[in-house]
Amino acid sequence: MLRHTTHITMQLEQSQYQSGDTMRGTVSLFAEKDVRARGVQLKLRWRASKTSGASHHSDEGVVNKVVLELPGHHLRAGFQRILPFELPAPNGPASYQGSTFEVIWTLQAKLLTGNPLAASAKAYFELSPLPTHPYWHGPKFKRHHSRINLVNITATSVVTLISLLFVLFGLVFIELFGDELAGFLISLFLRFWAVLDSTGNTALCLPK
Amino acid sequence: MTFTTLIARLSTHTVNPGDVLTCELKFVSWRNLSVHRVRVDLHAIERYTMSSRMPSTSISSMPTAGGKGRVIPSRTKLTTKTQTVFVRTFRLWEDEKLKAFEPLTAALELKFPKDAPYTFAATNNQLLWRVIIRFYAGAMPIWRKVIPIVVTPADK
Repeated sequence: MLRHTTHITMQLEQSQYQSGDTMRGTVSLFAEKDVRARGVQLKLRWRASKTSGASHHSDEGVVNKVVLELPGHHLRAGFQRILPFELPAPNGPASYQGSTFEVIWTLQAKLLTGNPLAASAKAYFELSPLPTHPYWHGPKFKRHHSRINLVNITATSVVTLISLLFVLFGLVFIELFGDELAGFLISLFLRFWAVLDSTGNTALCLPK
Repeated sequence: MTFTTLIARLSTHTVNPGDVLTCELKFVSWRNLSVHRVRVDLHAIERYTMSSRMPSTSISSMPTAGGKGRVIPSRTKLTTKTQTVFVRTFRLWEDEKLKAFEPLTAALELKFPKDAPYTFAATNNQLLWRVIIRFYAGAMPIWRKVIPIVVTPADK
């Protein structure tokens, strides 16, 4: 089992925040031996995951990343260092405890040593939105409706109506312009696909 | 052949918890019709994706060129399930005889609970609010329309 020689703990002043609040807290670092580290990375992360049952797919996202620089990029053995921080509380999604899934918020602190398995700490908090603050509904949220009125005519009615109109229009057109239309089409055909020979008879030929 | 027109008008598509949403319905048939019922549901669901691992199977009875059985590798099957978390039902126009071109109108007040959870939409987990209008009449098939609603804590 991996044993860290650097210990990291994190404390948030509160366990509940509203959107737009300032989240204050501290990250405490203690090293058993000298460590070179750039600082501590804070990640504000939401996660929607199952409340019960197995094989439920989860969603997650990071809304804010902040690096707390460590002075001198060095942590001396035997000394404790406390780094205070302030972050704006996110705009959503709100913490939620549903029957099939829950939305939880965490603030994660990780020592930046270049080692992906470096020491880390996590603090949970509840987020409730503030009514006057713009709310974020999730990564796949789309505002579907720009119009409020919805008119529905049964589909069969529309199809039947359009078909009837087409037939009616066709009948009227043929009745009114049938002869002229036939004559026009024949003359058009003759103009492009036929030539008159010297005797005045029509002879079909292919265009050159 | 039946010609019908249903107009559904919502006062808004974005509400706050505790708000009242007005839904106006106007129904016109182009011939005499017997309306069995119109049902309007205010509905909230949790929709989530689950995966189930389908085990690899060996079909040894199927002869192949190499003389060995064919093996279908295991794969993951994704299924989307829904769970209703809130429903309020309204019934209208039960067993009404409707004359041609005589409109039926109604206005419903859909009240959202004060603790209504906010709309949430992620890839695999969603919380959705909607108004579902179902129409039952004569020989007509059931007509169903779903209108999404956004529940938000912010000002509309």
